[in-house]
Amino acid sequence: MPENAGGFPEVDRLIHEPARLALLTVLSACESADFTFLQRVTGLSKGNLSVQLTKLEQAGLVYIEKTIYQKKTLTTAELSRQGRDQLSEYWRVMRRIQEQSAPRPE
Amino acid sequence: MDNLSRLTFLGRHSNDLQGLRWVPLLTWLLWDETFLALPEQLSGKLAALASSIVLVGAYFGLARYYDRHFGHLKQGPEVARDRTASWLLLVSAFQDVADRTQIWLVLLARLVLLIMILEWLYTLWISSSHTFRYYFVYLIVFVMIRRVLDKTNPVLRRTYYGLASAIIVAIGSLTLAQHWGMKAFNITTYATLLAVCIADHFVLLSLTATLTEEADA
Repeated sequence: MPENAGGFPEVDRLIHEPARLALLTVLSACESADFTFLQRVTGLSKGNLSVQLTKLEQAGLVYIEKTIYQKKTLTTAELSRQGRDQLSEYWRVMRRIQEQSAPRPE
Repeated sequence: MDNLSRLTFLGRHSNDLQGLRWVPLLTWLLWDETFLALPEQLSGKLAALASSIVLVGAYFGLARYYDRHFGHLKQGPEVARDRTASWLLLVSAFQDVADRTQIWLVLLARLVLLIMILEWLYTLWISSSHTFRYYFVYLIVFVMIRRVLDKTNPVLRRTYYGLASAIIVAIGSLTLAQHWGMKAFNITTYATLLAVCIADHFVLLSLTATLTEEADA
């Protein structure tokens, strides 16, 4: 596991960003969710949500599907296998950091 | 409830919180008996037909409202199973349960289900459908108890589901013991389930953000 200068394990910065972590957390709890749902749950603006989803898609963490429903574009996001694995690894690293930084019992 | 728990909870249970969606169906099942009890009269049949059409329309209207305002979520198969009473019938229900209280609940629920089936067959045999209605509502109560036992639910939601379950079981038992008519049972059950549906809707509203163009992380 790579470590940074402070001796802590390196955190996946793509996931560590709050908006993207929120999106991945929601998607990890369901099979798939549409754009409106993700916007409603995370409170992100349309523009920001779109940017974050694109970044996650480019990194291979989510699948984005666009379909036409009632003359409107319906965007649906789903966590990929790689996304699920990377999110689990992220939480493992975070737990390890927490254990390392916990004060020692006297 | 911290933000990560809120996000996980909504990702798993958002569809369950769309309480208003079930109000028309609930009304049709428990309230519409007034009209359905008048099959001999033409006005009764027309009223039943008209109210059914209105309630089906209302169901789809509310489904559309939720889709437009809260978006669409596809739940995982394990959550979809928990929404129904089918979890009681599964062998895996024993593996899922977190503590012994829930194991006893599953056993008790299965026993009641067995009694229900036997009772139903008996009432069919003697051509009476009177008592089956209570058991049908008890089945709903078992689904509701699942919400009480689910520790990922907010405390408020667990509390009102517990209270509602207790009220329905109490009125059902009183009705059977005191030989009351179905009216008090129907009205109390309807009012209780209606309150639960509305409360679920407000929990959903309180846990989700209002859509704005300017909102940011």
